[in-house]
Amino acid sequence: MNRRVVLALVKKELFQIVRDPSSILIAFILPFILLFLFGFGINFDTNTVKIGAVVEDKTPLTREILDTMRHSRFLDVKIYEGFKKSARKEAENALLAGDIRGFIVIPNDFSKTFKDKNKKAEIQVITDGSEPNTAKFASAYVEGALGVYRAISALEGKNLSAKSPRGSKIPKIEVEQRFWYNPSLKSSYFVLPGSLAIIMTMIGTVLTALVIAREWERGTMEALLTTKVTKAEFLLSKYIAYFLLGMASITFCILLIILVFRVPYSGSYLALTVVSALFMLGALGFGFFVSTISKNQFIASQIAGTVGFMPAMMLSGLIYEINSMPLPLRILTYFIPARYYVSSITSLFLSGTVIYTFVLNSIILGSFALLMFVIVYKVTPLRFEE
Amino acid sequence: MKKKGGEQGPWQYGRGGKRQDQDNMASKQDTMPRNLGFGLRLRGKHGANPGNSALTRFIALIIKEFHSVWRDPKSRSLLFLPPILQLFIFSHAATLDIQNIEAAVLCEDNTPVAREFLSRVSGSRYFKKLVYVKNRAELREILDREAVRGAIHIKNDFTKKYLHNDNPEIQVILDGRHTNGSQIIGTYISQIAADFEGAAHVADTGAFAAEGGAGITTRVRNWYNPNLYYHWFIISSLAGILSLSMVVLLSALSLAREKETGTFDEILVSPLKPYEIVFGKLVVPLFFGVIDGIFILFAAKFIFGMPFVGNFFLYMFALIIFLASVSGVGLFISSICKTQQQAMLGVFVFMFPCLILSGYSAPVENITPEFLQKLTVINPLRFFLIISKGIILKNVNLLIVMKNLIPIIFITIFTLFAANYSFKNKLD
Repeated sequence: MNRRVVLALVKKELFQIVRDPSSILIAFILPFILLFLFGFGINFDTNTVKIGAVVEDKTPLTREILDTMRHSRFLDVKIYEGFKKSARKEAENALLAGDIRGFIVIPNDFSKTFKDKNKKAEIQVITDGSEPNTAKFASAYVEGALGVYRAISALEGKNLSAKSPRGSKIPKIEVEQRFWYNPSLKSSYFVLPGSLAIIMTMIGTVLTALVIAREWERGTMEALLTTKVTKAEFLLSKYIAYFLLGMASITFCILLIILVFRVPYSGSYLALTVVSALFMLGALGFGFFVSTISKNQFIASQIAGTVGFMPAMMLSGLIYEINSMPLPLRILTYFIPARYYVSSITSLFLSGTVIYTFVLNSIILGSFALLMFVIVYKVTPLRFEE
Repeated sequence: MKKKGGEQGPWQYGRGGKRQDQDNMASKQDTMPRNLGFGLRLRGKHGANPGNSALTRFIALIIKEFHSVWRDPKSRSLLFLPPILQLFIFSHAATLDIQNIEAAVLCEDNTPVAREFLSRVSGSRYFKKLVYVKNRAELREILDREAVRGAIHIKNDFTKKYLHNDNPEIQVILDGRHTNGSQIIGTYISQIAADFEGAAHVADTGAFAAEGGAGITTRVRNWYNPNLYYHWFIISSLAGILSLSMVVLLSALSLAREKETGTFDEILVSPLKPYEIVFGKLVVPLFFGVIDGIFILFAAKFIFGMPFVGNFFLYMFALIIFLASVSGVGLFISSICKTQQQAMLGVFVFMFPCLILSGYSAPVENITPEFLQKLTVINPLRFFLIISKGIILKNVNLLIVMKNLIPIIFITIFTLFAANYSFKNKLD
C-alpha cells in the first residue's frame, strides 16, 4: 500500500465533500434541525390531557368531584352544559373530531346512588381509543383525580371510615419511587444522546451510500479504474475521508447536546470516542456495501433508508421498548448495531462509564465494523486489483 | 426560447418518441406493452405532428416517467418492498406498552407478608422475572448494566410496620435512562401495592368498599378501539406516512436524476410547458403513493384484522389530495437541487419536521415551545393523520373530514404553485 496514494485520494474525497455544500449541510445543519426537533417535538413526558365533562347530576357532591378534577394539573376539563342529551351529544362530537381525548359522564342518579350504602356510584369515562397511549393517560388521570378526592374527603372525615379489626387506620403501603440516573425524569436527557445513533446512521450509511453510488452512476469510478490504485488504498481513503466527516459532525452534535441542551454528561470522554468511532466505522462499511452492490443512487438510498436508517430509529430501543416487542423482533434487534450504541451512549451520558456495558458493546460494535469491512472488501469489484 | 421550442419540439419529440418505442419493442423485458399501445394509438389519431396536442405530450411524459422507475427490476421492487417491510416491522415494534419486565429485588425482610407481596408482583402479567440481589452494591451493578429495568427494595421493618398499620414503605428504583417505560413500571408497582392492601382489607372486613364514599367507581370505555391495540393507531397513521415518504422520495429524485444524467436538457427542448412538466412529473409518484396507501389499507383489514368503518372513496379522495400536496413539495425540492444527493438532503429536511410535528410520535398538544405547535398548521400530514384515523377507526362525518381537508387543499395549491414557479424560472 502506498501512503502517498492514500493521502492523495483522501484529499480528493475531502475536496469533494467540502465543495458540495449538501454534504456539509447533511453533516452539520441536518443534525442541528434533528436535535432541535427531538429536544422539543418528541415529548413522552406526562402532560395535560384535554377531557370533557358531562354532568347530568348537579349537586354539591358532583361539583366537588368536578372541582378536584379541574384542579388536577394533568387534566384540562371542558364542561359541556346544556340539557342531558344535548350535552352528551356535544361531547361525543368533540371526541369524534379529536378536540378532546375523552370525557366523563356523571349520571343523573349519581348522588342518590352514592348515599345508598349498598351500591357503588359510577362515573363513566369514555376515551378516544384511536390514540391508545393518550387514552390510557386520560383514564389513569381521571382515576388519579378521584383518588385525590377520596383522600381529601377522608381527611375531612366525610363518611369515610373503613374499619379494620386491627384498628381504625388503614395501613397504606407507601410506594416510594426513585428514578436513578435521571432523577427529574426528563425524556430529552435520554432522547437527545440516543438520537446520535440516528444522526450517525444518516451520515455513515445514507450519505456515503449516495456518494459512492453516484461515482458509479456518473462513471467517475471508471476514471479511478484506469489508475494503479489498489482496492485497499481505495477503500482506506474513502473510509478515512468519511470517518473524518462523521466524527466532526458527532463532535458538533455532542457539544450541542451538552452545551446548548444542557444534558449532563457523566462518563469518560475516551469511552465516548471509542464507542462512537466503532459505530461510525460499522455504519460507513454498511453504506459502502449498499452503494457497491446497487450502483444507483435511488436504489442505494432506498436500501440504506430501509435497512440502515429505519431499524436505527425503530428497533434500537430509542423510541420503542425492545422488551415489549414480539420475540422475532427482539431477536432481530440483536443484529442492529444502533441498539448497542444507544445503550452505550445513554449510559455514558446519564450513569457514567459502566465497564461491563462499555466493553461488551465495544466488542460487538467493533466486530460489526470489521465484518462490514471484510464484506465490502469482498464485494468491491476485482478490477481494482493491480 | 418558448417559440423556438414550439418550432423544434414536435420534430424532436417525434424522433425521440419513435426511437423509444422501437427500443421498447426490441426489448425482451418490455413490461408495459399496453401503456405504450395506448400512446401509439393516440399518436396515430393525431397524425404526424404529435407534439401539438397537449394531451399526447402529457401522456407521453407520463409514460416516460413511469418507465424511468418501472424498467429497472431493482428499483421496481424498491417501490413496494420497503413499505411492506416497514409496515410489518413498525406495526409490531411500535408499542408503548411495557411488558416482559425484568426487575431486581432487594428483600431485607424475609417474611410471609413480603413474600406474598413479591409473588403478586411476579405473578402480574407485566413482569417476566424477578432477580434477587443481596445488597445495594449488587443492585447498583445490575441496574447499571441494564440487566434489569427497575428494582424493588423492601426494608427490614416492612412486616412490622404493616402489621401495626404504620404505613409500611416499599422503595421502587427505576432506570431514568428510559423515562417513559420507567414511569409506567412505577405505576404498575403502585397498582399492585394498592391491590395488595385492598385485598388485605377485603379479607379483614368482608366488604371494604361498601362504606360509601370509597364507593365511587369508574367505568372506562375506550371508543373506536375498545382493547386499545396500539397497532391500530400505528397502521392507520402509516397509511399516510409510508405513502407520503414514497411520493416525496420519487418526486424529489426524479428531476434531480435527470439533471445529473443530462436528460433534463432534452425535456427543456421539448415543447412541454412548465405546468405540463409539473403535472406530468406529479402523476407517477402520486400513482405509486396511492398504490402503497391502498396496499396498507388492505393489509390493515385482511392481515391485521382492523376495522375500516368509514367511506373508502372519501378516504381515497383525501389521500390523493394529501399526496398531491407533498409531491408538490418533492417537485419543489427537485427543481432547486442540482444533484440527487442534494435532493436527498431536501427530503430529509422536509420529512423529519413533517413526521415529528404531525402528532404521530407525540400528540400535537404535547409539543412544548408554543411556536413549534403553531407551526404544525402548515404540515399537511398533521391534518391527514386526523382524517386517516377518523375514517378508518371512527367513521367521522363529512364535516370533520372537510375541516381537516381544506387546510390540505390550501397547502396543495401553494406547493404546486411553488413548484410550477420554480420550474418556470428554470425554463425562461
